Amino acid sequence: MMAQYLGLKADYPDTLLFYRMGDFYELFFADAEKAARLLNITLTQRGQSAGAPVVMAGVPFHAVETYLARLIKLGESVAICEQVGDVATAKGPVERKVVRVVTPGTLTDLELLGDKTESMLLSVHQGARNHCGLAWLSVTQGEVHLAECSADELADWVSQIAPGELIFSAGATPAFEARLRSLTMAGPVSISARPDWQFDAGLGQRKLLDHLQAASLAPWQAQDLPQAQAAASALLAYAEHTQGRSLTHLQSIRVQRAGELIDLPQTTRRNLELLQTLRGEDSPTLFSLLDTCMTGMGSRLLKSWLVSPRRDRTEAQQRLSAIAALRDGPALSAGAGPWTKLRDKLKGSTDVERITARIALRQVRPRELVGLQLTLQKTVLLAPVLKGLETYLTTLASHLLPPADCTELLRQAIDAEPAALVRDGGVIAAGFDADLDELRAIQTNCDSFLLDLETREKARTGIANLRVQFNRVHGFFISPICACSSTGCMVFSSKFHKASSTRCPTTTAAARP
Amino acid sequence: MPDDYRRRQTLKNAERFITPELKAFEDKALSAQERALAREKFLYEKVLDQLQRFVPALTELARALATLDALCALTERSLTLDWCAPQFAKEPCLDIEAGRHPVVQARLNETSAGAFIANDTHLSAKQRMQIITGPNMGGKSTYMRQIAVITLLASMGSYVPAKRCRLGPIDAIHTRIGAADDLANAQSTFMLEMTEAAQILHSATPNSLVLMDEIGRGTSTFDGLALASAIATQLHDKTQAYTLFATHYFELTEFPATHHGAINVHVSAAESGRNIVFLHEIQPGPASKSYGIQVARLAGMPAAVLNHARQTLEALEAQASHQQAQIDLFAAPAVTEVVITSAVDNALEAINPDDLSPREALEALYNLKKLRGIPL
Repeated sequence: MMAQYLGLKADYPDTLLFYRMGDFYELFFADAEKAARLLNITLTQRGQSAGAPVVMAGVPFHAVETYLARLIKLGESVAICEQVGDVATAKGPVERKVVRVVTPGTLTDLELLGDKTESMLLSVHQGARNHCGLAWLSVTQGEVHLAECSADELADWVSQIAPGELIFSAGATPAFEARLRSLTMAGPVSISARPDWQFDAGLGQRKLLDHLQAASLAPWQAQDLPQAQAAASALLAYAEHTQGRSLTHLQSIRVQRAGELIDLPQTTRRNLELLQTLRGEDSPTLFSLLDTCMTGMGSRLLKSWLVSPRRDRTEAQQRLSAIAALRDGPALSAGAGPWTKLRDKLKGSTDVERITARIALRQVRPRELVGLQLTLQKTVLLAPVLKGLETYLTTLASHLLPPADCTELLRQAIDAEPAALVRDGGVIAAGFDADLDELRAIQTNCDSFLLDLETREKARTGIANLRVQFNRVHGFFISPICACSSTGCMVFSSKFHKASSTRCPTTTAAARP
Repeated sequence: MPDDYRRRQTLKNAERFITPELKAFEDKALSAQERALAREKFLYEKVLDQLQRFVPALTELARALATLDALCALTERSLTLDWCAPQFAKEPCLDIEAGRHPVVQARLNETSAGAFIANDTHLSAKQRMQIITGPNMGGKSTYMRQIAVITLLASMGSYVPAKRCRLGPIDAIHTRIGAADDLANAQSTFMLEMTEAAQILHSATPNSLVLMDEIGRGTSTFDGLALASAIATQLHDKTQAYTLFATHYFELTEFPATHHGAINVHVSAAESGRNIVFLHEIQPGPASKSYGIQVARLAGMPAAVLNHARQTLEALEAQASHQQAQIDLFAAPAVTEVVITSAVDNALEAINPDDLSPREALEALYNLKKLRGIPL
């Protein structure tokens, strides 16, 4: 087992490796010592490896998200290694694989991400002649941003992008690296070097074209940005590395050029208390005052409007006339403009943006899909309110029509109140798949079978107290003297979760009608 | 016990049995459970496969939903907080009628500590600079910040906290407002102040909005005053940015007399007996007094200290009136500006070595020698 661990660890030398062992994620050696220090968890020793005791520390799997959140806040990265082989049939250690790497700039878990903050991953490429290429993205958005700038402007760009994580080429000059590390950032930023060969303009161009499914970058005016393309190449490689798969939802790019935005230096953001007060609190700030959005994605978009206003007024003017129409448009109910009705419908909408990204990354949870389905249903009601109000709003309305079959597929496939995780079962709706329904019928019918059996055995043995019962260790049994009143299938299913769940049998029974 | 009962477990006070019938049922039920779970996992993966083709449409929908949400939020704010739609102009101007600082106003409302006093601002190509004087706590900072906040809100496409707002092109908002020592980076207050001011002077353009709050206060009086007046001059003459220049140096109220793009404004305060009442209103002209001692009283300074300070102040003022008229701070730069640029310097300035081919570089070198009048 240690050989397997060391083999996996070799691929992630600078990352904490969470190695799944039954109900725990274990860390070993230096990782364990570091995690024990950062998380204040107990360090233990077990057995020997290469003559020295194995130092280890672990966190229970069901609480892993809170531990992850703390590590990410401290700027650490974590590789999650799961058991992928079959525990029952495996000889020797179960096969394990790193399924994803959680880093500060590539978060996708809704639990780890602030509702209102985007976590940005930025890649910086040092080009020739003091020229830099920048590429950045948020894994939960479908867009790659590109820019080129001189080394002197780098600080302003980075402070504007406000990344949670920054990568640069291992081949960059020491002076450049020192410069990156000395940049003052709003929050803690994890900075790491990536292999030099990944910063390749040709490779970057090919990767971008793949994502865009286009033959040329010209429509996006990104064809003449070799430095930014080189940065994008490493950016995408790293993002894929952390997610363990290609980011198929990245389907657009946006080139930012110097002079497009109104300059808001870091000092201005701080002094005007845009996002944080001078004391570093989240409220009262201009953003906290403005943000009465109904959804997290609305809040995030509003924030990006606030901190990156354009010099060109077209966009601002567009928004202003939309607001005017929403304020003063035809009143639908007594005295209130169209906005009240819209907000009413937006209320309770889920974070479609992040859920969509998690669908593409195949990390989406059943309950998120249910939320998505309900939101899509409500979205249909928005477009009629917008119709004819104003040109920009009409354009928006045309994008608000959910893909026809999507809602239907979700409704048919996913149970209205699914379990939190697929491995708990009870996720796929009844009637979606005949085979599944049949298998479930066997389980639901067992109650009546057991009651029936009990009555028959009572009659046969003449013992009035006889009970048919179930217990985790021994399975079904007949007990002539009953100590407990629970019977049947309701309880037995918990036997199979003991490897993956610590829920007590009674709560499992309660969750399973 | 019937014959077909097999003992499964023996406890202290009970025995547990199983029959072949129950055993057969157990196998069937348990395997059904396991197979159902596996089937669910498989189906879930298949649903995910089917969902992939909706990802682009869903991404677009998410964007539209977020946009609508943000627009509705701005609409709600504009109505709740009584904001107006800004107008954009092509010519340089920054006209605000009855502007308010939204966060400060909200805070006042929350604590019901009185109404926010709205103020007008008028900046144009001809009148680009305001020298703001008046007592501390009088609202200088709030006034300056509200202008920046209104400008920013308008630029993002939001309604703004004012009665009327007209805004010319804006390319940057720079601020230099006192902050605590940056201990982490081992920079002193003064060093930080100068670094930030230098960055602003380098990057600001006539379309930039510049906020300067009490520049020069991190060093001795004369140093600070000298630097403040030099920076004001540079912003006025060279940068020509929209500048709001709050200062506690009274000497700077002389500045607009010689610089026609600048005007004096002050925050008003009224004295009632020994106390002071802040009116938070911006009025034209310089402040008459700085009310430092009155503010100290408000802050709960011991009476003995206040008395001592008042005596010292009187002595200082008496001494100052004996002296000749003030040194003209702003005449000085004209004399000291003796940096005569020669033709060679100009040519050197124009050369960018990175852009030259070797041949061009050689030609440039010959040209320089020629300019200097050295025979080839």
